[in-house]
Amino acid sequence: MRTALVVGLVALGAACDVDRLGLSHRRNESGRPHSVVVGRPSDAISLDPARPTDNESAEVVAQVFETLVRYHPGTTNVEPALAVSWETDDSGAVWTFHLRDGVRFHDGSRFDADAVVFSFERQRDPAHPYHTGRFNYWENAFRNILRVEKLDPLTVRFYIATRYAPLLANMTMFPVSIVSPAAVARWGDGFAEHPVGTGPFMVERWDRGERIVLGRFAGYWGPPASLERLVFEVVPDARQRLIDLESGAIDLAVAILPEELQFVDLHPGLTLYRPPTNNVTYLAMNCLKPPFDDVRVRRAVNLAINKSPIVRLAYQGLAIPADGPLPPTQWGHLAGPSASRYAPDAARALLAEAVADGRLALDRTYTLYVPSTPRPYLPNPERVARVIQTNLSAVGIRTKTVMQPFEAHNADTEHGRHDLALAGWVGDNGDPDNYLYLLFDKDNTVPGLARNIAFYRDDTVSKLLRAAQTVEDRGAREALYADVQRRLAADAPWVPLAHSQVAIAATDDLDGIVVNASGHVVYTGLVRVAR
Amino acid sequence: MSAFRAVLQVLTWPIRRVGRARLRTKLALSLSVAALLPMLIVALLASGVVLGNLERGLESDVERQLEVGLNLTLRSVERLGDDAVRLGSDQTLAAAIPRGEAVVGEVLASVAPHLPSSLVQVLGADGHPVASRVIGGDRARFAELAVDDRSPVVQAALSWAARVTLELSPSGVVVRAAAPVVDAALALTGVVVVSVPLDGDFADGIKGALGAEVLVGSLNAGVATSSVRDELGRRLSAVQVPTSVLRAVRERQRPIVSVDVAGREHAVAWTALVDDRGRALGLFAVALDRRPLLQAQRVAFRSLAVGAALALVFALLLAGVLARRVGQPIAKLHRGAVAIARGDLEQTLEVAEGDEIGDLSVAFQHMTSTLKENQQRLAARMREMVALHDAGRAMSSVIDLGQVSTKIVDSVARTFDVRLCALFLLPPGGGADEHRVTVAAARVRKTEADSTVAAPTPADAAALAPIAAQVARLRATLRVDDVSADVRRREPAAAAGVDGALMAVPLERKGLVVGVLVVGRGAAARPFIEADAHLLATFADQAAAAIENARLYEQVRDASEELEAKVRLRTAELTAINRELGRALSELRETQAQLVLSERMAGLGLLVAGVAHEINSPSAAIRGAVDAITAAVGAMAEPVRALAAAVDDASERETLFMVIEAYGKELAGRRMPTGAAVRRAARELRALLEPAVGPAATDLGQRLAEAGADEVMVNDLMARSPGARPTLAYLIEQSNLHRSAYVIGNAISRIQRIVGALKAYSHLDEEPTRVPADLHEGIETTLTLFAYALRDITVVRHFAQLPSVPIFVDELNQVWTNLIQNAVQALGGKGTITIETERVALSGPAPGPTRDGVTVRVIDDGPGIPAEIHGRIFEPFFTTKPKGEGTGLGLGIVSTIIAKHGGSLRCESIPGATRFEVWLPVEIAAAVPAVEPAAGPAVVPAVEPAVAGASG
Repeated sequence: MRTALVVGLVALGAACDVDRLGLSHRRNESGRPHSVVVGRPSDAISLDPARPTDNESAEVVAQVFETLVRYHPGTTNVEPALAVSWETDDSGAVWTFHLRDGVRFHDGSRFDADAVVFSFERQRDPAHPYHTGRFNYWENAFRNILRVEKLDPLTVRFYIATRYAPLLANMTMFPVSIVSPAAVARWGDGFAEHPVGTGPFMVERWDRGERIVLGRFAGYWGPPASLERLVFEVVPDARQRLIDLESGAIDLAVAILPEELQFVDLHPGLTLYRPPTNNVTYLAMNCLKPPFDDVRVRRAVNLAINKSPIVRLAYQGLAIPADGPLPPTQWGHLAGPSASRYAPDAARALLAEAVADGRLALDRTYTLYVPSTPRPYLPNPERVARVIQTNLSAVGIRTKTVMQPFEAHNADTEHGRHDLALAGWVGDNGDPDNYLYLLFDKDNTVPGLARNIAFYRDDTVSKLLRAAQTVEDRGAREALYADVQRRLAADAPWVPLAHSQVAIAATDDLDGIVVNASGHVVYTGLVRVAR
Repeated sequence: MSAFRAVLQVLTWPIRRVGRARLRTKLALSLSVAALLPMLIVALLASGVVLGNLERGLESDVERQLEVGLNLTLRSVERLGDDAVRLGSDQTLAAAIPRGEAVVGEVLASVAPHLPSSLVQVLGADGHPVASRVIGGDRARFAELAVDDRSPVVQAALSWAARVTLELSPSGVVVRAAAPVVDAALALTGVVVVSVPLDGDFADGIKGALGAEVLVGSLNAGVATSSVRDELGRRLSAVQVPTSVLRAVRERQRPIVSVDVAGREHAVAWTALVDDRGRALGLFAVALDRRPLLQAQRVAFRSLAVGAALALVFALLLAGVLARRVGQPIAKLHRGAVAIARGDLEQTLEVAEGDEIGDLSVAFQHMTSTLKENQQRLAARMREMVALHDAGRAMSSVIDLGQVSTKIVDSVARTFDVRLCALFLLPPGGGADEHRVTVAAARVRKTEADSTVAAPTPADAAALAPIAAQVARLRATLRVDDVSADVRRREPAAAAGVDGALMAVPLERKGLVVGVLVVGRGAAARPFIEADAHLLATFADQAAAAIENARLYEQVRDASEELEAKVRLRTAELTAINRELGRALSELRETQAQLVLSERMAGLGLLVAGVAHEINSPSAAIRGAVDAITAAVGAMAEPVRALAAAVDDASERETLFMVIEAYGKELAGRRMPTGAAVRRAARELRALLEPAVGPAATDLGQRLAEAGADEVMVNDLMARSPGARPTLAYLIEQSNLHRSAYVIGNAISRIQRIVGALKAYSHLDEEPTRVPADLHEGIETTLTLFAYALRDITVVRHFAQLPSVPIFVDELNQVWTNLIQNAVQALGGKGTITIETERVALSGPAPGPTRDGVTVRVIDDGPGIPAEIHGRIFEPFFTTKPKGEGTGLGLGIVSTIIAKHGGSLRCESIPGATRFEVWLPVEIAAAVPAVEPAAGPAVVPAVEPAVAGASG
C-alpha cells in the first residue's frame, strides 16, 4: 500500500517532465549531426572507377576509391596516397611504387601489389579475364603504360613507353583507382553497383536515380572522415535544390544556376562557394589559314576582344577572365603573360599593317565556328560568339558564325575547317602538360584528330613541351612551361577567354568545405559546427 | 541519521495515520487514490503534450513562416535584380541613353507597367546621371534613395557586372539593383539602378503573399516597421526591437520571442538580412498572433479542471459504496475471529453473502468446529504422550533384563489401569512355542473390586501363556472386550484372574517378535478402546527396544570377558617372542661389530698395498745408489793414484783434489742434462780433449757430458792439472758419488714421510680419546697415503681457516679414507676431486640455537649416484661395487662415526658433481645427540638420474 503510493508519486513527478519522454522536437536542431546530404542534378552512372566519364560518378568514386598518389586537397601538388614513395630509373621509363602497408579494402581483403596490378592490367591487357566492356579513359590518358608488374607484395613496377613526367599527375586520376580484385571477381560487371575500394567512405545503398548513401569506413588507414554518413541525393531542378537547402532537407547543393547566385548571396542562412575550376574557354585562330597565319593579325584579334562583358554577362558572373591557357589554380600558371588588354585602337593599327602587306583582306568574311550545345566551360556559346563578332567587326574583321551541335563542331574543328573557333578544355589530371601539350604541340595538329585546333606548329614550343615531359623536377618544369606560355603569348594562336566557375551552396553550419582540382568537394574534412 | 529518521517520521505520518484507520476508510481511500492517480497522470501528460504541442506548433509555424517570408523577400529582391538586368539589356534604352534625358524618360515610362514600385535611375557610360523616375507610389517614399556613380553597385555595373544588394540609406535599408545597359553586342552605353526601400509598403507586399504579419527594419537602428495596422488603420511602425533579439540576429540566429504588437501578443521570429558581402544590415521578422493559442490553453485547462473535479466526486462515491458492501461482512468476520482468539470456540457466524466473504464465513465456521475437536483430541494425546515418555525414560534407565521387564509392566499397569499386566518373553532366536513363552514380569492390582473372580497373583499370569504364544505367532494385536464370552480364551484368562476386557500386543524388534505384552481388566471395568490399542502398541515398541538393549548389553558383557582372556594369553606369547628378539639383536650387534672390523681390515689392506708400493720405490732407489757408490769408489782408486803420482807438491795436490771435489759436488747438484745437450756437449768436449788425451777423448767426453760438465770447467781443470785423464775421471766419479748420496737421502725422507703418515693415521702412539685437532692435517695425511691411487687424479683444495675440532683422530681418518676412496672409485681413477672446508654454523638435530662447526666437502666430477639408489647409500651392506671390492659398510661406518662426533653427513649427486658434506661441531654438546645410522643424515635427491655410478 505504502509502496504503491510512493511509486505513484514518483511516476507523477516523472510524467510532469514531459520533455524527457522524448515528445519534444525542435525543427531547427539538425536531425543528423554526423551526416551530410548533398543535392545534385543527376545520379551517378557507374561506380566502377574504370568506366564512367561523368562528373556525378567521378565524385562518388573519389569518396569510395583511392589512387596511388593524389593531389593535396585544394591544390595540384601530388602527395602519397596508396603509394608511400616512388622512384624512376635513369631512363625515366621504369617507375617503382612502394605501397602503403596495412591498408584494407571495404570487404576486408588486403590492399597489395596484386590489387594494383589487377586494377591496371584489367584495363590494359585485352587478355585479362576481367577486361570486359569499355575503359573510357585508358586510351586517352594511360596508353603509354606498357606493363605493370609486382616485385613483392608491397612494390609494383610500371614500364612506360618513354620518359613521361606527367605520369604522376595521371596517377591521381580516378579511372586508375585501385579496386578490390576479390570484389570484381565476385560481382563481375555488377561491380559498378557494388564498388569496393579503400576510400574513407563505403557504399551502403544505391537507389538508382534517387540517392547514393555512403557510410564512413571504420577501417580506413588515414584519419577517418568526420562524417558518419554522406548522402548524394538527386534533385534535378535547380530551384528545388535551393528550396531543399533552405528547409534543411539537404545540406549542400551543387550546380547553382547563375541567376540564383544573388539569392544565395543575400540569404542569411546560406553560404556560396565559387571554387576555381580546372578549365579554359578560348577562341582558336587557325594558324594554317591566312590571315591568321600572320602573328600581327592574331595579336590584333587578342587586343580587339573585350572579355569583361563575356565574363560578366555571358557567364553571369560564374567565370574569371583568362589571361592564358592555364587556370590560375593550376601549378605552372604564369600570371598575365598575355595581358588581357582591351585595346581596339592598337588592334586596328596592327591590322592596318597587315592590310598594307596584303596579308589581310578586309572585304572577306571569316568563319567563326561555335558549338550550339552549352558546355560546362561555355554555358552560353551564342552570346559569347555575338560579343566576339561585334568586337571583331569593330576593328574591321567580318565574321559569320557556324553554329552546330557539339559533335559536329568538334569534327569540323579537328579537321581545321574553321578560321576561328570557340572551344574549351577541362583539365584531366592537374598537370600543365595536359593543357599545353595537347592544345599546342604540333603532334596534335593531325587533321581529323587535332586537339590543337589552332594548328599552331612551333618547333621550339614542341621541344620545350617534350623537355618538360621528361624532366621530373617541378621547378625545372615550371621554368619550361613559363617559357612556353611566354612564347604562346607572343605568338597568340588563341584568345584565352575565361575560366568558368561552379557554384556550390551550403548551409551555414557546414565547415571545412574544400574543393579539389577536379572541382569536387573533399568530403572527408566536412564538419558541422554549432550556430 | 536521526534527523533523517525524524523527517521520514513526519513525512510518513499520514500513511501511518491511515494505517491505523478502519479497513473501510482505508479501502475507500485506496480506491479513490487508485482511480485518481492514473487519471491525474494521464491528465497532466495530456495537457503537457497538448499545450507543448500547441506552443511548439506555433513556434514551428512562425519559423516556417519566417523561412517562407524570407524566401519571398529574397525572391522579390532577386526579381528586382532581374528587372534591372532586363532593363539593361533593353535595346531601346541602350539606344536612348546617348540621346538624352527626355528620350530615356519616355523609354522608362513605356516600361513602367512592367516594373514594381521603385525608383529607377539611368546613368551614362561615364557615370553621369541621365534620368530618373519614380514608378508607382508617392515620391516621398523614394525621396532619399538616389545614388550616384560612387555607389559600389554602379561601379560594378560600369564594368558589366549586374548586382543586387542591400544598402543603408538615410531613411533605412534599401534594396538596390544595378545592371549595365548594353547594346546587342554587349557594348556598354550606361547603367540602370532600381531602388526599393525596405519599408512598410514592402512589408505589406510580403504580407500579401505570406498571409502573416511582417516586420522589416534596420539592424543598426534597432527599429522595425510592420505590416500591422491598428483599429483605425494606422500602420504600426517604429517597433523597438529588444536588444536580446538584435544580439541574437547579429550572431545569425533566428530568435523567437513574444512581443506585444498593437496590444496583442504575437510570436515573432527574427532573422537578419545581409548584403552581397554577407554583412547583416537589415531585420526581417514574421509575427503570428498568439491569441488562438492562449484561447486553446484556457479551454484545455478549464476542461481538465472540471474533468478532474467530476472524476474525484465520482471516485469518492464509488469508493464509499464499495467499501460499505465489502466492509460489513468483513467486520462480522472480524468480530468472530476476535472472539475465537479469546478462546470462545462456541462462537457462530451468520453471514448470508454468496460471495467470497460468504465462503470465507462458512470456511471459518468449519475451521472453528475442527479446531474444537482437535483441541480435545490433542489433550488426550498429550496425556498418553506424557505417560509414554515417563515409561520410556524408566525403561531405558536400567539395562538389566529383569529390571527392564519389571519397569515395563509397572508402566503399563499404571497407564492403563488394569487388573493384570504381564510381559512374556520369547527365547532369543524366536520360536513362539507355548511352552517356551515365559513370563518375564507381571503386575496385579489386588485392591480392586471390579470382578467376581478372585484377585490374581503374579504367578497366575503364566496361565496366559497360550494366548501370548498365539499373539506372537500371529504378530497382531489382540483385543477382546469381554473374555468371558470368548470360549477359547475364557479359561486361561480366568486362571489369570481376568474376566473382563483383554488386550495383547506383540513386541517386535527388527522384524522379530521378542515378547508379548498382555493386559486384562475385571468384568466390571470398561473395555479397551482403539486409542488404548495404539498406546499399548507404542509401549510395546519402546519395550521391545529396551529388551533388545538389555539383551545386547548381556551379549557385550560376555564377549568382553572372553576378549580379556585372549589378551592375557597373547601377552604371554609376545613376552616370549620379545626375549627371543633381544637375543637375536645382540647376536646381530656382534656380527655388525665383526663386519665393521673386517671393513677396517679391508681398508687397511688397501692402505698397506699402497704403502708397500710407496716404500718399495725409494728402497729400489737406495739399492741402485748403493751400487753406484760401490762402483764409483772402486773406479776412483786409479785416477787418485795417478794424480798423486803426477803432482809432487802436497799442498798443490791438496788444492787440486779440493778443486776437483768441489766441481764434483757442483755437478751432482746440477740438473741432469737432456739427451740433445749431452750429445752437443760430448762433441765439444771431445774436440777439446782430443789434443790432450788422444783416442780416449770420445769416451771421456761422453761421460763428462753425461755428468753435466762444461768446457769452462774442463778447461780450468786441465789448466790446473798435469794429467787430464785422471783428473777428469776423478771428477766423474766424484760427481757420481755425490749424486748417489742425494738419491739415498731423498729416498729415506720419502720413507720417513710415509711412516710418519701411517703413524698419524693410525694414532698408534696415542690413546683413543677426543683431542682437538686440525682437520686439514688428517685430510692431508689420508691424501698422502692415497698418493698412489691419486696419481691420475687432480686434487683441488679449497681450505678455509678452521679452528681445532675435538675428534677421535683415527676414526675421522677412516671417514676421509672412505670418502676419498669412494671418490677415487667413482672416478674410475681419472678426474678431479675437490675438497672444500668451511666454517659453518648449523642448527643441530636438536632444537635450539645454531651451533658453531666446520664443513668438509668431498666433491668428485664422476658420473654421480643414480636417483633410485640415492636413499640407500647409507644403509649397511649396501654397495654398488663388484663383489670383493667392498663390503658395503663404507658409508654406513662413515655416518656412524660422524654421528658419534655429533655431526651430520649429507650427500647430493648429479652427474658431474657428487658431493659428500661432513659437518662437525666445534664444541662438544653436553649430550651428544645420537644420530641413527639407518635413518641417517639427510640425502638430497639428485636433480636428474645418472646413468651409472659407483658410490657407497
